[in-house]
Amino acid sequence: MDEILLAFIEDGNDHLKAMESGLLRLEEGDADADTLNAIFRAAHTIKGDAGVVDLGHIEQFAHTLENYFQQLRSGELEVSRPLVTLLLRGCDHIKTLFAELVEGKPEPGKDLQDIGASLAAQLRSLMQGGQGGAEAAATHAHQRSVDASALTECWQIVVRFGPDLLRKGIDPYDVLAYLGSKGEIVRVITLTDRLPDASHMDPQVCYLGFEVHLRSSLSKQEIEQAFEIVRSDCELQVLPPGSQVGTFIQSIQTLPEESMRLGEMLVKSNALTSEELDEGLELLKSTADGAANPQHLGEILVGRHMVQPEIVEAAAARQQQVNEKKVDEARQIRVQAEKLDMLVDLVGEMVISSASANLMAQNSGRGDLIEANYGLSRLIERMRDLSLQLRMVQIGDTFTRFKRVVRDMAREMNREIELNIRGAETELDKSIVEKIGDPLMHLVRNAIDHGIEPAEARLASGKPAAGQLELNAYHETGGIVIEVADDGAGLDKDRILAKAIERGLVVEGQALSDQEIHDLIFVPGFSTADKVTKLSGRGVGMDVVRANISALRGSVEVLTERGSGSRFVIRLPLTMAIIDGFLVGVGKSQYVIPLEAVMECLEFEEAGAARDYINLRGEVLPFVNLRSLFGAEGESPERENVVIVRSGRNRAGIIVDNLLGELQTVIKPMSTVFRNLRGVAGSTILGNGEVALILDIPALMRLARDTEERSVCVPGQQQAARDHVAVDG
Amino acid sequence: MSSKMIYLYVDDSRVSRMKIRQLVQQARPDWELIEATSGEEAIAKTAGSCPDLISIDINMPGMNGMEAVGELRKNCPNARFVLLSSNIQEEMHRQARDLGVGFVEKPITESCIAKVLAYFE
Repeated sequence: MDEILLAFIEDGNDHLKAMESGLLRLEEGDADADTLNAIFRAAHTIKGDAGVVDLGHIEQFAHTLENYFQQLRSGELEVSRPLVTLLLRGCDHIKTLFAELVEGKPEPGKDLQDIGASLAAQLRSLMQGGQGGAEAAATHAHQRSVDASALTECWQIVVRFGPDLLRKGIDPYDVLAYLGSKGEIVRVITLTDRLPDASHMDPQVCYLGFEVHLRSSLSKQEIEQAFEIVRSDCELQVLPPGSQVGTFIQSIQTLPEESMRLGEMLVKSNALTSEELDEGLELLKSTADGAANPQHLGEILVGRHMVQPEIVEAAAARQQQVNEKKVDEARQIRVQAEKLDMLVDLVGEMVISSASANLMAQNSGRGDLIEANYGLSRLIERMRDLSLQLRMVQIGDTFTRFKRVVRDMAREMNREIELNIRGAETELDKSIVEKIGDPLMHLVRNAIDHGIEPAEARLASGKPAAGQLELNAYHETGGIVIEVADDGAGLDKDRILAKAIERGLVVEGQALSDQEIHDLIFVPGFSTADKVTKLSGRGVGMDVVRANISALRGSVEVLTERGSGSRFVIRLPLTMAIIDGFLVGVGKSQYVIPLEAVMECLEFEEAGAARDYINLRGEVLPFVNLRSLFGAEGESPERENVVIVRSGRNRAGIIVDNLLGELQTVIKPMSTVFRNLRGVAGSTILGNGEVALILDIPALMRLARDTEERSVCVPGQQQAARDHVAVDG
Repeated sequence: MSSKMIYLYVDDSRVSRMKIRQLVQQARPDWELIEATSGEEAIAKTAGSCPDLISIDINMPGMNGMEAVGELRKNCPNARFVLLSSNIQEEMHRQARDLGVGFVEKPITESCIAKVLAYFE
């Protein structure tokens, strides 16, 4: 390699080190002008040197960084965690580019170019958001005048985005940009108080919030609409224009929950400027000197008419509230969710190992060993329960979120709706709680949009004017049930059927029970809303709700009565990690049926098989033959068994070779390759080291039902039924 | 111009210095080259013997190029100066003109050095 290029890389890496340590000092807040100069110079030198060795891409990227360092140096930019994070990533990027050079690749690959471009874009968008903050700081001296003239005429919008926003592919910047179409954005302040240390930061998590001052003549609802796509994922506060006392009090009450001095709170809520605070503090100092009974800051501020007494009271109350919460929090320990996941994982492995040890003990025939193992597995079982409990959270928080949603939607649709929450203290696994929010949101929106009728219609049919919406959670046989119920119009059976025929989902004349008709709303491609409203009809149908719930190994069904309402019943397992299962054998393979689905086991009578249903004490049930479904090798044994399983209120039979009994086992998720595989929920490792597939009962039941339909259909209709199967995945 | 020219270049970047040396050696193999990494070092090096030509980077830690020119002038009143900078704002040009020195835009490339040499000769 050319010696100049070599020198470039060697020195470049030194400059990067200087840049990095400078940035870290900057973040810690003990950076002086020398540090800023050093950082700037490092970027500057890299840029210059890159030009010398004719590496345009590095020159350009270093130039981008240099610009930010220059602005930091001149005080145009304020240091913030997100900025430093991005700049540090910029350093890393250059480091990668150097590494490429060492490997003899003068031009970076496409992926590296993309990383660079994306970093630059992120910096840009951060600056567009943060610039306001910097400007605000710079113009702090005039803030009261700005406040009085401009900002009080503005809507004050505080939005804190939920952590999953980025994972959902939503860029907060787009949301703000869209907000800009609703009026003129006068000021944007980035709220970075939720940013963790760099070492704890997950780049996929959104930590940011923004405070936006918007000049707009639109109504509150119309402004809130700008946040519709992120509504379920953010805390949103839209304060009307005008610096009324109430507004200040409200913003004080919603200040971040951190210990703050009184003055600081007043300044943060814009009730006081920092100059006024300084003045007040100065007064406080002068009166405190020598005074027997020193005044409080609040009294001084009120006395000087800088701030209304109500506001000071609100701030003091908030301070106390936060402090109390702090004490409360101290009694609990915050643990990283990741650590808990690891613990549950390990306990899961222990369960498997214990099963294997048990098996060996049984085989050895040694009584003392069996007994010791028995004691051990009992302890492990208790430990499993306890460790799972650590991850349990109450569903209440998720439910409470809907209060606001219901209120806003009801307003918007000009309906009166009362939300009743029951069973908020019901606990379930954190990982499930996180994922149930979206389906619930859809069901709630649906209930308000399609279920609950306008007040006149309700009164006409003898119902109270206010619609009742109920969110309910309770435990039921090893699982949890969540219900979303409304006292609205209920599902219109005829319209569903007509639509399903129109969509080709069923064939005219096909005999369907009411339940089967109602179930059609969960079939992909079905939507009953005649007009797609912006509230619930967004191309996401109930099929997605069902798919989301199935992914949690749960099921959803609807109970409805025309005229008196609908009740969506979601059944979920308590945890995703461990399962109480029932082991069955087919050929050489073994399968696990979730125990909560198993109702009974019987000997299989060949007689009914020809017609694809079995006769269970006079009841006709569809069945699935695992041997033919999974194409097991070998002949079926003389005696086959059938396991009667249920999912919701439906039942079906599963034909297996032999019944091997209960076991408790750890679920290993299937690789994404098998994502489209139906009927299998996961896999597990048995005590003897073999792999067993865990059956997805709701999916198998649908398969059984479809098989039954096929055999019942007249030949011409078979194609339609098969189409149904094809889309029902 | 006499054949034995002494050229001092001041730059804090090793890469830039290496490049200057490489390019000038190619173009003027008979010149004597002296290098300094900072304004301070340049002043120390010019205390005894004076170069004929001096090029200085503006942006350096410690004394910047402009300041260095002022000091170096005292040591070497007859030397010709060129300021080098990637900062091409008009202000820089003006300041260079006011100081009565040349101004050439960085980065150090063949054409950049050609301009420096053209200014010197």
